Amino acid sequence: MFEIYLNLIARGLSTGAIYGLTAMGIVLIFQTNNILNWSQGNAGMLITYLAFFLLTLQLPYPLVILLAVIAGATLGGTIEKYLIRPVREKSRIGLLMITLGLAMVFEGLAAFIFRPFPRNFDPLLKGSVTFGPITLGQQDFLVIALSTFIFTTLFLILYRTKIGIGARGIAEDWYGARILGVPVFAIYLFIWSISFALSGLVGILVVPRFALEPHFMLPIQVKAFSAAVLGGMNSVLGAIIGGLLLGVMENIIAFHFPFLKESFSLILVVIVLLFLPTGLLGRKTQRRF
Amino acid sequence: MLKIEGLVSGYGHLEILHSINLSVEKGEIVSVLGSNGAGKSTLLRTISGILKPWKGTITFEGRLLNNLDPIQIVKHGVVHVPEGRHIFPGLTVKENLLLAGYKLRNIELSERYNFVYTMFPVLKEREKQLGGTLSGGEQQMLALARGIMPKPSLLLLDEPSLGLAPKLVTLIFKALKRFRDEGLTILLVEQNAKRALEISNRAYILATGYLALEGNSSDLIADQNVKRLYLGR
Amino acid sequence: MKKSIIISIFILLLSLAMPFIFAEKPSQIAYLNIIMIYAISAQGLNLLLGYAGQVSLGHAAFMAIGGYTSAILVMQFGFNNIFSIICAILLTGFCGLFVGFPSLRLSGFYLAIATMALGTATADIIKRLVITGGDQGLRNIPPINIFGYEFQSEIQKYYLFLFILIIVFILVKNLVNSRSGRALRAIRDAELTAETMGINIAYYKVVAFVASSMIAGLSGVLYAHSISYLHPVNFGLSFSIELLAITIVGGLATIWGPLLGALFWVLLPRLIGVRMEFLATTLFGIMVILSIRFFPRGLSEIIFKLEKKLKLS
Repeated sequence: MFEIYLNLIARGLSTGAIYGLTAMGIVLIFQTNNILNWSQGNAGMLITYLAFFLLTLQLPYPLVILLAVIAGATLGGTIEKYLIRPVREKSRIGLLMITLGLAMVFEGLAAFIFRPFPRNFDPLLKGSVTFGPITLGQQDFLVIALSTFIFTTLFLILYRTKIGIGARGIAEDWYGARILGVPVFAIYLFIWSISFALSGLVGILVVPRFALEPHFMLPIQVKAFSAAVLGGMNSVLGAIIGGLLLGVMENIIAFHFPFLKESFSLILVVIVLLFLPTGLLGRKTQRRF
Repeated sequence: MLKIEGLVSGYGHLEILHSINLSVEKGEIVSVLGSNGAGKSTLLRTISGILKPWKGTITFEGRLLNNLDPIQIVKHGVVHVPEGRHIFPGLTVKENLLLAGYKLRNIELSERYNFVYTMFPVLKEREKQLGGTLSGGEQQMLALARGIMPKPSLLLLDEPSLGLAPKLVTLIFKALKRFRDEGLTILLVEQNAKRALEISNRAYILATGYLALEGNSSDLIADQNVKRLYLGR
Repeated sequence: MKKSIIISIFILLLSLAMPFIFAEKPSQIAYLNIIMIYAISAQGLNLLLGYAGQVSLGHAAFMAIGGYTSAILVMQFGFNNIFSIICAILLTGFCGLFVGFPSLRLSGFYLAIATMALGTATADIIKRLVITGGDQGLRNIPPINIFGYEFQSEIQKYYLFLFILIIVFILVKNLVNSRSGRALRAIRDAELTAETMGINIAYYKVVAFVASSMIAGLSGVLYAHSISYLHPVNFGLSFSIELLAITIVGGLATIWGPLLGALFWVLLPRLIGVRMEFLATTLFGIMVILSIRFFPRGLSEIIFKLEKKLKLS
């Protein structure tokens, strides 16, 4: 019995890492830009299609992942600079709608260029690994390892580099940062690039579980929003913990009550929003003027 | 050093400042006084580029600042310490200072840390503490320290004494005097007109967006009208 | 004044004549029927988002609740159709009440996430229940039957839907022009000011949610009995977003917006041809972005322009 739980937790961590990475991208943009980015998932979907195309050209898989991450960063930067920057004065709901429109643009593009039929997408690693009682797919293990690496790198960036500290400053007090001469727009560009690069990576890592089609990232995005809310919306650490927690809880719930698998996290999110609006690690921030 | 001519500015469609002329010479402390809503903060925000001037010119050391971004204005040596301090509560004191010196190179940066810490030794002790855990007076010191961090030649101060106990106010004003001795020029916006006049060389008085009065601080202190209207009793 | 009456009568006559214009191809009328169903639902969302400023990313769920309720009551409990429709609308209204209360505590983004979660959960629950047919969906739903008269052909449905659409649009127009409508707009534009003006924000927000969900429920009922097939997948997040996009592109806080948006949403893929069909989503997304950025009144901008021209000349 105990072994079953260990396996459930291990696999839940892998799923949770996927949620966490996506939630991290959402939270990074949310706390610095004050924008709920609805296109996070579909950006990853579009980049995954690109990766699919590159793989059919017989490029090596790791190179494709690298190229996809670069493509994601470029896409994110471009969108920040040419789409988001000119409309920053719009209302927050207006900005949400713009990212919503963007998600539709991505969806249509993917369906138009690649046709909307589900396609098979092979994982990078196919075998499984065993640690004592735990057996885990190699791809799942890769997800956990990669996300640990990314979490660590991101934390080093946020706490040890000027641009990262600047991003934290903007998240806390946009006006204060701007008045000090912190290059807020350069930092916005950086944040959007990171977020979209993350979304591309998540897409490639998770797509072998489903099939490649224009909607495959939507459920991941829904879960990532839940994870972000659980973690507190304005805490990157919260997003990661929220994601991992959600992944593990979901897996255990699905084992005992299979019919609750999907709805559990959604109902949890409403409860958290109502009774613990700051989430596990979030804090109240003053709104910008 | 700073020359403002015919400046008109405001928020959205609301005109707050109507044709302001003002100048600051090198090494001076110049106060801008006036009641709430007179447009003092708007003036500073316009100089530092947060608001765009509608009309008129702002020149600093012969350079037009009108259409520059706040980042460039800081680079030119004009630094704005905003009302309400706006320190980053979740960042350490040192990180707060780092963001103020964002454009500096690493060698300059450590030199500036030392300078700031000699000015405000208490900040050195609190270096690793989060900004939000400092006391009100310490937070104001941090705000001032951030102001001098990028080696400005002109400091725009908005209500540095706001919400502080009289003893701390004295401390802050002492710091301003020391800033002047270090060769810094200061444009000071204050509610506490008496203290501001005591420390400044010249002063301007704003009323509902117009320049009501200007002169040497010593003359203004003696002026009966000013006394009645702005100094209380 | 007179001109607008003439135009209204002209539009009414035109819409009444539609089935005769398309008499050759009943399938075209089916498109018009779908457009009207979407337009009614979008009108509900318009009331909520456009006039009251509350986001909902779960609007499709209300349609699902309405459609399933009526279909199940008729098929499995043998309810009279009129009675089942009333029950469906009341139930969605009740669900709107249930969602409206959280909206008092949540604003902006958080409300968006909460409605997204509730909407997705609703679709998932429907998928897992037995009574709803679960993953098989609900098939062979009978057409609307009012006192023995069945609205079976597309033309019959067309006139029924047109009648309902006009009623709903008139009701919404009257609501937004009333005292309540002004209160809603005041809340949308400045909540704090509205509160200091003595407007009972909680009351009006909940009212907006209830009214909006009832309209969506009605639209869902029409959908169920018209398409005669319901499946939870069709009422998921994607459809909610589509409805939102329809409302925005049509023009927020404009009375004709939902109809124009729905018209465009359904016709666009047909206009650009089968080969480009999938690009329609992209074009629509671009229109959402352009609407927010440049034309806050969306496609209705055209109507306003026309109106101005007619008045000037």
